[in-house]
Amino acid sequence: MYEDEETGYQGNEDEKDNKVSPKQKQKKSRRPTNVQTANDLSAKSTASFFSLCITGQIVSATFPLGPDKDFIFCRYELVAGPDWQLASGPQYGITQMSTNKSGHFNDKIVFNMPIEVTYKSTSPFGWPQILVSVFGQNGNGNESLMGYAHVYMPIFGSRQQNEQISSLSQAPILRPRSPNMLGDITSWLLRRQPELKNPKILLDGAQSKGLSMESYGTLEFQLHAVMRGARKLGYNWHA
Amino acid sequence: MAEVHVIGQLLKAVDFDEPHLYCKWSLQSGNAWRLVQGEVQGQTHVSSHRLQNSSDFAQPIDIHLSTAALQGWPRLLVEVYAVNVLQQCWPVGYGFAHLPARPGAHRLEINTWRIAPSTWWQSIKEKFGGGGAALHKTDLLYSGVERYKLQTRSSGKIIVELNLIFRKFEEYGVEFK
Repeated sequence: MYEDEETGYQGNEDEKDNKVSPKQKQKKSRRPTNVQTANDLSAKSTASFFSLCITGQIVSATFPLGPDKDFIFCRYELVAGPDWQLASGPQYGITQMSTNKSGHFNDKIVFNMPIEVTYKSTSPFGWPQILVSVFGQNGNGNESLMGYAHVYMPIFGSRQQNEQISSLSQAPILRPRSPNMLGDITSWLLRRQPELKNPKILLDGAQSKGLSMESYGTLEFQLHAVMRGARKLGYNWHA
Repeated sequence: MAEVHVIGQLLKAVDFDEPHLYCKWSLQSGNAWRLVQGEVQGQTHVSSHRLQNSSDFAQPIDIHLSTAALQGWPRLLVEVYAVNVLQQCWPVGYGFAHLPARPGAHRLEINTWRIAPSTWWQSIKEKFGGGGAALHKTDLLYSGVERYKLQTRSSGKIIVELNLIFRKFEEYGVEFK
């Protein structure tokens, strides 16, 4: 089991060779401490990682009265706290440009964009979130922001009760509003919506005071998470 | 020391009369609980929905607490404020809910209340003048000591989705059913 934890890194071959001897040392030193914890509850637990493997997709975007744009695309970014380390998978991505012009105006706009990442961490604080910026492009090639949506990656133990009904998590798409009327007039004239300079303030919770947003539309995700090693650290998520 | 992680989102406010709302939330707990990481209070952005009568906040909550006792189980307090065109804000809902006592995913619906206007003039001020009465001391939110003096009216609901992760509670003999 400990070998597998070390080879989680998809790195150079040299690193793996260098890790042979410390791995063996660790194996020898871990056995006596395991025996110790069975008898002595106050022994310190060995620091080790738990890993979180997330698979899923950005399924679609739905706008109840239509997006008013020809093509819609998304840009996503995965953000996590300081204890988290991205072990594999892309942190950023851009979807294809999708449209629903040929159908009804409030049809779903399907992206089907895969998200496959693995994180390693020592603590659940700063659980990873995905921040999606939705942009729309109209016929002349002007792109403007439709909104932002963000969800937490599925946390172990969640969404297991009513899994059969739907595993879609829906996030509202929030669009920033101008703070004054001059901004509204300017954005109507130039046909460009205001954008946030740093959309990560939506993920923080401490910095969104004073911001004004409007929600219109939903973004659907289908995400699954597989955890490894958390029970050894003592985390309990099942009743 | 046993640890609790609260990870989730303050999703939205529904069934309020006013369209533009923001929410001030805080997590309060007893003396035996200590905050390890995260912020225990926050304020959302002002939000409104274009079509429905709800406000989406999607405010992330990520708190790491450690505790030495079960007394003072944490509770989540919310105060919902409405904003009008003149940028005046007034409270339209107070509410609180205890954190659930089981690990896993939970969806909390916090029903809120607001102060009922006691005179005719106050009800006119509430509709047109930028708000009625507010609570002077917010201790009344979570204690039941002097509530008999209050007259309140029901207000909308706040929906919070929380995931609770507990750690090392079994070592202290605490079981969850």
